Amino acid sequence: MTKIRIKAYGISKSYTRKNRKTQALKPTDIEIQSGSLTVVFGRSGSGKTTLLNILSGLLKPTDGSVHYDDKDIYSLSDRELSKLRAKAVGYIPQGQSGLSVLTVKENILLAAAAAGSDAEERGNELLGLVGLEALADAYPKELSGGELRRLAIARALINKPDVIFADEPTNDLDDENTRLVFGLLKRASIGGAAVVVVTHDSTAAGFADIVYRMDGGEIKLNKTEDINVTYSA
Amino acid sequence: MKLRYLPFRNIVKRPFRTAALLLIAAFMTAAVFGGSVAAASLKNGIDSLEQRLGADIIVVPESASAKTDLENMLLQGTPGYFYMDKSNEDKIKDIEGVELTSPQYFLVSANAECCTVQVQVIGFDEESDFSIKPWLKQSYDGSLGENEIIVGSSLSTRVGHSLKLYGVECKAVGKLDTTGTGLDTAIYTTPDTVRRLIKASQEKGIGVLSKQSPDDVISSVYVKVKDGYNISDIAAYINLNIDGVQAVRTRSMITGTADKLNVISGSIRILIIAVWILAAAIMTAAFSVLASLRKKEFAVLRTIGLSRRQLGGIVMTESLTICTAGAVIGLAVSAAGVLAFGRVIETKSGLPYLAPDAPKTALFLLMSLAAVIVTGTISSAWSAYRLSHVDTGNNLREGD
Repeated sequence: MTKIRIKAYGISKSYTRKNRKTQALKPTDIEIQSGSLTVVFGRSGSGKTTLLNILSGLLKPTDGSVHYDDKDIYSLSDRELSKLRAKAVGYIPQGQSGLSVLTVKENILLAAAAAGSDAEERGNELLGLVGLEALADAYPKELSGGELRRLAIARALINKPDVIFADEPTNDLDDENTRLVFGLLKRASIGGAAVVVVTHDSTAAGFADIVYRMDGGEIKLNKTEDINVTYSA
Repeated sequence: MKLRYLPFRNIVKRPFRTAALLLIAAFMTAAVFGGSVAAASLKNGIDSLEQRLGADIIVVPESASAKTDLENMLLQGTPGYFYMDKSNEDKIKDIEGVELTSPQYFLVSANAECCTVQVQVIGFDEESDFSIKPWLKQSYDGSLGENEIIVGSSLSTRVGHSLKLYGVECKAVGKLDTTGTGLDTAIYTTPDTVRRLIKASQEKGIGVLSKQSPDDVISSVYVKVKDGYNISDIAAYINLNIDGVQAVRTRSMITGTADKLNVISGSIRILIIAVWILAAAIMTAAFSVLASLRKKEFAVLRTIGLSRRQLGGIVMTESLTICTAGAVIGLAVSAAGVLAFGRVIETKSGLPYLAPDAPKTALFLLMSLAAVIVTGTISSAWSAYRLSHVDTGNNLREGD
């Protein structure tokens, strides 16, 4: 895994809906560090998912630029950006994101296939890591919410990405699964990845190295000491 | 896990969706292929009729139209017979503008003796004939001897075998290709053989001739008009100047059938276009609805690093596979229907029906296949574009 530095300069996002302009993200500068777990807290509609998608190369900002090391990712062609996402980025979407036609293992290995690699061994290792070994041949519809989230994490980790983005990874999960999911993300950051989690689940604070708060499209850095939960994985 | 397997997993693991799309593609192909073959078969039938008539005018006894349906008999081979004095041929031959004449002799077989159905026996003069011999040559190039016959394709008698007509043993020396008309149950022979058969019928008490001798009669005269002369004028001249005969323009005889056929062919073509448009609209709608339903799936694929081109490739591979499979099913069903039931269509419609030959059928097959695949591909192209240009962030949330 290579150390990557992600820097965003003046990124903002505006939408026009029914002739009404909404600014989901106000001009923001942010830097994401390798080997750290960055948590962005915020209520629904605060703009945290917009920020995450812009940083991960999935949503072009209205203004500003995002640099992975020295590369402005939005100046890349779709093919180049997709390739970068496949190899360097792991993304854990909100909700159920397993492809229903593939088994758990195939879902995980699909991300490796997208990056052009055959990661059978790594797939088995990850299945063990996220506790889905016994469900390797099951289909997503047979899985619980927690299991589906773990599947998404394993898929995001398969290519040993430099950076992992997670959007509300513990939504609707019980305490046990919540801690399990954050624990896995923390391990990834300890392993050297830059991990960015957007959530409104305060449990995340105990695992975070850096905490931001978002409100009305504005982001502010928080001190971790402000939150009284600690990581004990 | 390979990316290229994904479209096929989508097809196999979503059986209802696949079945519905297969059905649309199959229905469309069946309509395009079946309709094209049916329309071509009807056109072939009328072309074959026109070609086989070969004459500009047919002269028959005046009483012929009353005795039997002349058009049916001459065009469709509905068994019938009539006779007139053979001197009429000489009178016609002397008319200015007449290039060639050739007499023909008709007789109907007695049921029980040879065949399960009554067959039309047609005697033609090998020396003067210009209307039958050209296409008869394809099956038999020799000269017909005593009691030798050439049989229509629908008769079970094989070349070298004999059949009995009015007790006379007749040897089949040739078998004709299918014409798609009732003439497929006809027998062709020489005037001498027909005369012998007429005599034999009289000996058996089945008198087809009451007063005259078979040697003094003919059934019809086929007339070819010289270039530069008006066929209608010559037909009118014959009708006015030769007693007891009627001259019929062959073209006018097939006009009714051709008109009927044109209407049917036109209707089939309209039906093909209507089904095509309908199927294309349904396919476009189906792919469009699917695009909406699959937003999240494609957004997830974007997050793992699939490019727009790869997503478009997945959609196109799925639609191409389904359309090809559906087209093959549709072709098999319609080929079975149209080719196997061609005879039934002919009988029920009362129209000449001659299926296209293998190369032409293969061409229709390829054209139908291409039409459906191209339509399916175009129908899914918009969906492929939409899915590959998804706003990943929004679709990840909306698609839940």
